[in-house]
Amino acid sequence: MTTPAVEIRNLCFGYEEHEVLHNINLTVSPGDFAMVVGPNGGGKSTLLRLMLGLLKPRYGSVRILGESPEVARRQMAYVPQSLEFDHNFPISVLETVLLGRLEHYSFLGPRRRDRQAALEALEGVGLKQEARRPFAELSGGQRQRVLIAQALASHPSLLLLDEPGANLDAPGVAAIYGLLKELSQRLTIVMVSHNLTMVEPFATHVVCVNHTADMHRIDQVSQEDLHVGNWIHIFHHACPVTQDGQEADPCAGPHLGQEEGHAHG
Amino acid sequence: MGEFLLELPHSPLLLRSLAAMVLAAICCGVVGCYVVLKRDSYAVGAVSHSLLGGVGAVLYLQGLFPALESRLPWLTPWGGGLAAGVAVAILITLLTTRWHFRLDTVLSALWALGMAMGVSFVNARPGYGTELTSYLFGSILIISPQDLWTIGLLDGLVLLLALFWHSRFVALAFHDELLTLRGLSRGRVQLAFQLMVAVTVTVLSQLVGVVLCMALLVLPVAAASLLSRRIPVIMAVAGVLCFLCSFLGVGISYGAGSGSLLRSPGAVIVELAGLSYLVAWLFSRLRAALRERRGEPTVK
Repeated sequence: MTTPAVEIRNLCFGYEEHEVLHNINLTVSPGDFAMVVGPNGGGKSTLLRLMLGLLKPRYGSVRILGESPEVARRQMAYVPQSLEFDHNFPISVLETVLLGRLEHYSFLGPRRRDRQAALEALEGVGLKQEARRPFAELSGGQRQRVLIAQALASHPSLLLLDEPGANLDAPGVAAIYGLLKELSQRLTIVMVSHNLTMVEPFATHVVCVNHTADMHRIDQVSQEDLHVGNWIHIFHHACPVTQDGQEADPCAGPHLGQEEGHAHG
Repeated sequence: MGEFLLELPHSPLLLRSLAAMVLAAICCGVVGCYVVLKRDSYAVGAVSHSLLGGVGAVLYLQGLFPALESRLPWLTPWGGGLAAGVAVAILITLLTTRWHFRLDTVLSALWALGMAMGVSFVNARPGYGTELTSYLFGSILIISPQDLWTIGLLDGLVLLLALFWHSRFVALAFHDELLTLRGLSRGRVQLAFQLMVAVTVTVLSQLVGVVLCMALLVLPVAAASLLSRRIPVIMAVAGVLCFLCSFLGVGISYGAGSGSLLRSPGAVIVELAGLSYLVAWLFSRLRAALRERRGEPTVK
């Protein structure tokens, strides 16, 4: 049996009183392309941050490639939204990509092999000719591709993306999704997105997240729902936890008591 | 200015000031650049003002035990300042990264507390009257050989750290989560950055004082970043600007008679730094206008 790329068991997470994610069970196998969809505030980005180990689950576990997220960190790469950045920061495209290999160099900066890897990654996203330009001068779509190159420069085996199409025009989105299609041939990808229709042809799974999460193979989801982007509908069709309410609840008292009982017994 | 230039080659005192200016300018360009990119100039203010606590403590102890000055010659007021700066740097990092206090609250508190302690210590000092002014506004013309060695050593430490961890400091300013995501310790890089700021501020405070050193760390970099979009170029230009401001500031104030507005070197240095920012801004506007007229794409 191969080690799952992502394995989440009985996970609950919340900020103080407010519980964001409840009883999440999820397995992403190597080579999968999982689309994470759901309404705003449903916990999509939180789920991604839990996979990255930036947040710690209250209950349950997250394993990445069989390890804890902290240990597996250098085997995964994360593409944040380009909106988060100071757009006047004096940094070139190549320097931005090189930051993705930060752990490989220190004294006197990047080595030749780091530059090599960064240039290859830039070539992969079709921006090698822009390597020397300031990051600030690029368009939104180009910036997002540079951030993907930054993630690829470390040669990850798992790629996590947070809405790479957000705030881009149609050609920008098309370019990025074309790139992701190519990458999905050799990487495991987990991507948060609003736009199902563009990715549907090459995504293998859809993960519906709205407080709870459920994973479906793409061919089990109604094409109509996919095209309309009707994830609430997808949820109701295939979300046993919310429908029958009979699922075991790992976050409630009894389970905790059991765990402690084991420990003491 | 003329008087200063004529006396410079023959005066060991002035030559030492000149050397101190060069060393300070190097620190200023490199560390100032990280500070401005990280938008952390408020931390510089907090660290620099809190130096006064350490300076005051040493002055107070030396007043209480006059033998201390000859027994422990390394225990200088600025040594006390450096110790206070390092302590505050560690405190800021711990409070904000480990215990999640609000950054600006922590900085404001340390800023005021450090200064208050400095004032308390100096006013309580037995013996002769207060002499806080030279610490508040610097004493660029009274650099002892020992001071110069210390400044050189601190400068070397800062440069070495920058050579090792330049990319990490850039990452800290650009997208600090990236450090964690690449499996590096963000807290450690943050601490190194704060310590670097503390050391640099101590060096600069000896020249222009704790009140004005924030300006010298921020203004040349701000001016330089209007002229270039490459970090090494910004550092170099800022360093040169910092040196020019110090050199001209000292030169101008040197010949100024009593009653002149230009008598205080620290103040003149900072005023020149402000002027250099204005000139750089005008220059960048002019350059943008010329480019537009020639139909070249303008940089946002």
